Amino acid sequence: MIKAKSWELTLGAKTRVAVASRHVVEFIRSPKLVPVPLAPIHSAGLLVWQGNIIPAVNLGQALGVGESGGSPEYVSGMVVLAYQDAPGTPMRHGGLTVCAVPEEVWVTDDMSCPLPAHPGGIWDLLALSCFAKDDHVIPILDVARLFSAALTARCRNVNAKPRKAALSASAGSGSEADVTIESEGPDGTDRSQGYLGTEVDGEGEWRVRVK
Amino acid sequence: MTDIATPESNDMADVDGETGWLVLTIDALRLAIPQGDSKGIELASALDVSIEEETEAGWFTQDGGVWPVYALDGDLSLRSESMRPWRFCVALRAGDGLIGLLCDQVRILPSEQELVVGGIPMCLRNPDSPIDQMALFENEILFVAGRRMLAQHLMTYSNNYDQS
Repeated sequence: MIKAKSWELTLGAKTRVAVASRHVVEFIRSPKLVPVPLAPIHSAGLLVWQGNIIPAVNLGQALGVGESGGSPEYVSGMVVLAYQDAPGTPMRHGGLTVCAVPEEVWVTDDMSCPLPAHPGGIWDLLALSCFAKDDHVIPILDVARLFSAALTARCRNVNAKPRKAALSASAGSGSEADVTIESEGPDGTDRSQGYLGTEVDGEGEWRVRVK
Repeated sequence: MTDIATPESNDMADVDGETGWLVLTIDALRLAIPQGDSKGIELASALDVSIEEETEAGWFTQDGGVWPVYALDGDLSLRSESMRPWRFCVALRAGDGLIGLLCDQVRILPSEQELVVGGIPMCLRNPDSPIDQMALFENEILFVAGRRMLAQHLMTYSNNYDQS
């Protein structure tokens, strides 16, 4: 039986993930995060760490997990993770915000279980595998993927507030009429934010229109 | 646009042709723009204040035209409250005209080499954002707007933009 040391990370009241122990470098209780304007919804900001700027991701926000939802007020710290984009490439670092101090966990083959369902398909994108522990289903993260553009492409949901836009800037029209950017989901939900054109995420195709 | 007033004196410092950076402070945001993107810096107190319902925070006169001025928040979204005091207005080149951005501080970095810029990490990047780079300067994180990108971003707010 294979036994591997991992760290269990709490993203919300009922959502936990794990990472292989080799990825975990440091836990920072109160990271000084600098928000990135207009960044994707899962952005927790940037951090100066050991003289370099590293990104921080709030995966709980992307998942919309429970009432805590990864909201910044529930974030109690950040784990600095090390990863490589490919074998032989330089080591890179990124932060993952968490709601509790990481816990060490030993994972064995017999704990394996199917990935939990997520409407955005995020686990299919980010999880290497999954295990069950204490009534929790815990996906094991592919750390390199977490800090790639893949999550952004999947979420495609930007923090930008609804705003007026000039037709000439986005729709190629010379009209002077006021326009607003709206987006409508497959279920008719109005997001009132997003891109012009068509965006696709795990929930389906969203038409983004100029009104 | 109503009651456009001409400033008593035009004391804009023309920074045309410069190759360094302007570092703007907007709330907690520190934003670097290429100095060549700017036509000048004016005291915010010299602006013609906008009426309440307008999207624009004010107007300024330069090069025979009257140009809109905008106030943004730290997320680069249009600021809703209009009465916040600002110190400076940076005039940005926008197409054939100008567009103004209010800020708290402006610092001039004369040399392009003063900032070592790197790309925003892929996981936090938004292709529609005017910010595509970042830099560490005096142990603080600066966001760096691409050439002419900030003006383009402001123009999306400018329904009444008039380049005449």
